[in-house]
Amino acid sequence: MNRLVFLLVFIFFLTGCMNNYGIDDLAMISGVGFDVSKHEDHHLDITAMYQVPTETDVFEYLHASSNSLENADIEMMSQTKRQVVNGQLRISLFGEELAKDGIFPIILSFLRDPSVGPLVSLAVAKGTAKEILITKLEKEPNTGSYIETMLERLDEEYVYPSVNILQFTRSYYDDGIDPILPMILTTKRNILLDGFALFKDDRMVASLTNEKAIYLFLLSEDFKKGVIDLEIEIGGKKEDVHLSYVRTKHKIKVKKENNDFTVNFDIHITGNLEGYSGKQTLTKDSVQKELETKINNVLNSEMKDLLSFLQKMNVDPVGVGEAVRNSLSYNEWKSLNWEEVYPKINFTTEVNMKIRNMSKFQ
Amino acid sequence: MLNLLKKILFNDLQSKNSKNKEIQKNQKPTYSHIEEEFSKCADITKKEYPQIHLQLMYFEYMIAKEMVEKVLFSKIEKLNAENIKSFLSQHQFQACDDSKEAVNALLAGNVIIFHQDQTYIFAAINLQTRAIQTAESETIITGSHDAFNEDINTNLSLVRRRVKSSKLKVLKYSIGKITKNTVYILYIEDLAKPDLVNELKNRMENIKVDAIYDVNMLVQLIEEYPTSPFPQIFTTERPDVMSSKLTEGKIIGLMSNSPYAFSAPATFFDFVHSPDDYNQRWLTGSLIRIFRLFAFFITVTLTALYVSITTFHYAMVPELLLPSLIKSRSNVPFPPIIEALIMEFTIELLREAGARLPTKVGQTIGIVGGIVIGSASVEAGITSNILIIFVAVSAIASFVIPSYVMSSSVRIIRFGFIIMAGFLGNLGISIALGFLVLSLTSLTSLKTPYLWPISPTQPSNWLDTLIRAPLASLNNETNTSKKKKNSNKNKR
Repeated sequence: MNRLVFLLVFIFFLTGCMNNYGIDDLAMISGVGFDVSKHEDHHLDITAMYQVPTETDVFEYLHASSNSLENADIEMMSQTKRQVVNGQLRISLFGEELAKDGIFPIILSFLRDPSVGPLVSLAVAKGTAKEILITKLEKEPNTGSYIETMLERLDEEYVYPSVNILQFTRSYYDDGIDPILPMILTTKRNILLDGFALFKDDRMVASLTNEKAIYLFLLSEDFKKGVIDLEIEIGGKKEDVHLSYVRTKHKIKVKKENNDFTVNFDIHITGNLEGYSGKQTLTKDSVQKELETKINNVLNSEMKDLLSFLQKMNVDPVGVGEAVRNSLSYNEWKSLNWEEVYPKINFTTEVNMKIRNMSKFQ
Repeated sequence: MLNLLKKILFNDLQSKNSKNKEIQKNQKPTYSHIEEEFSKCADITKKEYPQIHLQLMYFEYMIAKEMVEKVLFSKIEKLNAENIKSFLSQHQFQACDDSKEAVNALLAGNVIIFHQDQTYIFAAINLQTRAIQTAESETIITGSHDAFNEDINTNLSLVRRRVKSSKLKVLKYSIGKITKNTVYILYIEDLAKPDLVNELKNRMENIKVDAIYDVNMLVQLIEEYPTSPFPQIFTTERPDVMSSKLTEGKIIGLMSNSPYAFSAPATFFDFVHSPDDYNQRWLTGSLIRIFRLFAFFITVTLTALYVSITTFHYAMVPELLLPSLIKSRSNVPFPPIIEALIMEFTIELLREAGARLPTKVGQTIGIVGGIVIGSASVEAGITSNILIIFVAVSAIASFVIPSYVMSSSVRIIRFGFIIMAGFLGNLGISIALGFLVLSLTSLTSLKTPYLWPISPTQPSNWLDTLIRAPLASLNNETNTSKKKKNSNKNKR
């Protein structure tokens, strides 16, 4: 009993040895960017931004070059009187060049740090990450938070997903799918989403534009949101179609004949036809049917193009590997050399588009 | 208080020294004996009628003067040596052969009559008491408003009026060597468990104390864990609550000179329930009960959470709240734990000051404390705005708990939580919560688990504990009575 009391009392005295800075003495990093360093000894250039706790909308930047995130701590700490902490990190950006070299060592540092949550957004910066972080938008000085909110909103309202550490890590370790990350571009006056980076393991190997990326998400996800813009040809004339409130359902079927795989995508889309640049009267059933088949054709060919492009680059962000793996036994999958099989897979797509609703007037 | 203690001790010693002088039991009372017993008591009144050898002794302020004048004195004056014997043989004159009994009767407010070697007690008690008034510390909105007062007979009648049953049994005890308070233990036969009644009897008989003044003191002498911060026997000033406890199969106790009554066994939930829960619609009642449990946790943890978040867990704060939290903290020179302890201490002072002062001055204290100290201390940079909100909310939440004794206990353990949070953060709060649950579950009240029916778990009884289900589904027969009935059936 005496020993217990002694221990309890001791615990309270020992806590004096712990550093507990007040909440107003912290430099809480909200956004961090990684680039390839020009420095000879170091691999990484790190840029971190934090809000000066006592001021509104005043941000400061810390710069460091090192070989890992952990090693940059001391250099960053020497640049501010505050204690640098990662607990409020919202977004991490990777320069394009670095992304091509591989980013997993950094992700691993995040995973190891208990103060960094798994929901931190990731993105690839076109150009350098530093460039984007130090961009000062006139009304939105908190760049890190701005990018995160933008990606979140796109995820909620449109088809473009935001990717966090958890999702990236999952795709990275899963052998049936390859990770993707959104790409961010800065013009000096704005920051915008500019396509998606396709990764093989942790190296960026290709990118898709925003328009093409939609077909990727049609193939890999079901969603109940977003818009699709298409260009169709009717009678030799090009006409624009704008679909909104799109709902999609997709099914992947895998057939194995001898050693050849055939993967069939069955995609159902319903949506409101809101914009149409052609001259036809939309209320006619025949016109709608025609439009639907045209849209189907366009989508089919676009998806085929996309799939063959992915095969050419040998990346699988759709998750074809998962579907194939699920159709096989464990031993069959293990004996399969997926890297070699993937480019030879025969893809077929069946798109079934239905116009559910029309614009208010004609 | 110290004086009182000294007095009690001193008296005790004195009585021990003068043991041989003290009147022995079964000794025949004589005028000279009793007179000696009450020597130096200036307030005693002695009357002598030498021609008929009659002596009277009484305390003038404890008897019904008009009645005694009319029934006793006026008639005695007309008596002569012949008819006095027949007069005294009337039934209102109770013969007494025991000195001790005579002394007690005199102290209770009776008239003692000595005639030759015979002693009689004439019942004339009329103690001045407060009228039955509305409950002050446990006010409710709907339902009866009467409260117990200091007269035990009034209190007994308040209970008997509500429980009109011959099964309502009453045991009488005298507690306190010097104060000699009457304690009535009430229970309904067949509903109260006999072993619990016996246990309580035992405890009442084993109380060894010189002086006691209130039921709230008494319960501290008979509860199982006197060192625990939580009250284990429920006390209230409301007769309706006590009557409902009786019908629940609990044992209740009344004490003379105390406007409170106790009921045992008590569970934690007795302290957070109010008659209003039953008098209002079941939905309202249930919701309020859930709110009270929330209030309990808010009181205990809210300020501690502020301390742990601002000291250790900045990452828990939502991004949008962070700037305002930081800004309010940035002017404060103390670490959060000191800041929180200062504020909590101030609130406790305010509460205590408000409780001790008359109502009108109390309001002023509220204004001075709440508005002046609150806003001024923020402007002076002693505390942060957000802490004021947290402290105020947790103080308000503590007053939601209907039992004053319980709400004070909760406010005390809150300090433990704040200190733990200041040293160990959320880990500290978790540890403290663990200890809280441990200490609550390990308590028993009259051999009954304190957290029943949560632990031991009996979900069928949650309908009247965590929520207040519609009365029809509560099945007006309580569990105890049902069980009792069943066991009776089995016996037959």
